[in-house]
Amino acid sequence: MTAPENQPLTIRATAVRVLATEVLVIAALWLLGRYFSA
Amino acid sequence: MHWIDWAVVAAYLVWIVYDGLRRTKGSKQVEGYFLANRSLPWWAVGLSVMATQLSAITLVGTTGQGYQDGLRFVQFYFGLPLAMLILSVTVVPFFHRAKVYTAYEYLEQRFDAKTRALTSFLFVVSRGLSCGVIIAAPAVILSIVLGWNLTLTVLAIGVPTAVYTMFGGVQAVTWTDVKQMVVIVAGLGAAIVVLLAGLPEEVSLLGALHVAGSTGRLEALDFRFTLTETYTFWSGLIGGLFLMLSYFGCDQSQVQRYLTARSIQEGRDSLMMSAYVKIPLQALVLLTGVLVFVFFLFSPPPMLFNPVHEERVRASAESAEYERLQGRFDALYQARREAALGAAAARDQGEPAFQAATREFRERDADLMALRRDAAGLVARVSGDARYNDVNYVFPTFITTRMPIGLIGLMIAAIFAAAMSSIAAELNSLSAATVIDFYRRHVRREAPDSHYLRVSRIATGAWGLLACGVAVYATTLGSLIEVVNRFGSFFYGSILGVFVLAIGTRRATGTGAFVGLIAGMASVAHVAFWYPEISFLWHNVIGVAAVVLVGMTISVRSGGARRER
Repeated sequence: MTAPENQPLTIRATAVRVLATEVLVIAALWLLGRYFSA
Repeated sequence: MHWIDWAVVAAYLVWIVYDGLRRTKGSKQVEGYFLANRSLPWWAVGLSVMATQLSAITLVGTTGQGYQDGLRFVQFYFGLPLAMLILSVTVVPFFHRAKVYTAYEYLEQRFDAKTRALTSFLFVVSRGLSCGVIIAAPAVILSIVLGWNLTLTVLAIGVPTAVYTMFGGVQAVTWTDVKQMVVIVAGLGAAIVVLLAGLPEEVSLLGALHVAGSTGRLEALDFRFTLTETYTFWSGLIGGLFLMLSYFGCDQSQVQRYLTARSIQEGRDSLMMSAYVKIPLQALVLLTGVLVFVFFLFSPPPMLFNPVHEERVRASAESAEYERLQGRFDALYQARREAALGAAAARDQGEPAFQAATREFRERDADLMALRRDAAGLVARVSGDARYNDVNYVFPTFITTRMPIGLIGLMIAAIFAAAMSSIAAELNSLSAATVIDFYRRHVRREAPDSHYLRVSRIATGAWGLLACGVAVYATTLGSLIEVVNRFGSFFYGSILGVFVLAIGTRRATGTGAFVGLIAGMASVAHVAFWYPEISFLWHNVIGVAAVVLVGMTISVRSGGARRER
């Protein structure tokens, strides 16, 4: 289990990973639309 | 249906009920029955969270939407990852530390008994009805497409679920959810393989996707900021964020999933699974629908996908008109097929040739869709159902008419799994709210644990019976489904507003939260009736805003409750 003093850092790192993944997925969906609609 | 498919469905049902019932031994106390003694690993809880959210109507309806509109609906989920992050740092630690059984129990710790009772009551009423709808919707579709008896289909979905949930409690719900997610994903994978294998030899996957793309079906994103368009990037990101915060943070059917996790960290990790996987999974489900569209470009589709309505029109005075439309449909289908083949082949012949070929295809597709609208209008006239729509029948029709023996059974089992996983979680959470928030709180406050366990099992069974009853009734009253959905949307955002007051502020009082909740629901009802053009996703934002505004105003004016959290 994560030590309590490390939790804010862990959450921040998780937040960055989750949001980066979402941006990548949305970008991939946007590219999919652009590529196949052209 | 072939006997092998029947055997697959029967094997699935026996396996799931057996797996659920063998969890009974781990549910000898109320805490084990409702919270699995807070002992479950994050990955099982995470899969259970996803299985609960993914109902049969999501599986069947979303593929239908992919067929009709393409990937646009995926935007609905854009607020989900952010919601999961917010919930991970707010309600997950709050609920775990408060050692509550239900989300509403926390509201009494923070505010008062009446706020807890009202929020729990709203949950029980809406989920009790929606549980029936969750059974009814796939039962109607399966009974029509497969010619099954409707009541028996309702019972085939509802009774096994009620039985294993009643005896096995939340452990049965979670561990069967894990297996049901595997069945759902396996079914989807099998459908995608059949769809790809069904493409003509001369059409590559890239060519097929270009043809689908030329109709706009692969354009997932709409960046326009408008309150009237249901699914846009902004309504999904902002409205969807509030909806997901409310669903995962304040709806007992989801809260109870992560309350079963071993620790706060494992509860967080279970939500993170959805944060990473949900959008790609929904995109895959929608893409399956797009592939069904592509499949039916090269393999003749029925003019209408609901065979019961078709039979009714053929037996009516309008049968000659229907036959005429069918003749034209067959000719237009052939023309569209040729145009689709031409467009797929033109990819390698340079940009001008490809543009001309896709333009030709789009025109033929528009002709065919216009004719389908005429046929649907004819059905609407004959059946008296002005809102006739067969989009939910597209995927089941593909399954039952185009998939090979054995895989049909697997896909039907996947639809059953999607329905049962959602129903089981709802029955268990309805029982928890009934027993913990009402029976143990207001009817019998002191009793042995075994008594509450017995009452919890009876409550689960009773909710199961009621859900089956509502399902049978709902199938004869089509508009009830919409009423239930609408009713739910009135207070979803408002309940979230109460939790925002509870967790996010120190000055909010019980009376402020209680009156704010009523004001929030009234505001959403007002907007829903007087401004129906505003997309329902924005109702959640309005609900939260109204509750927080009214709740804080009343709390501050009455002096505020400077209670420590």
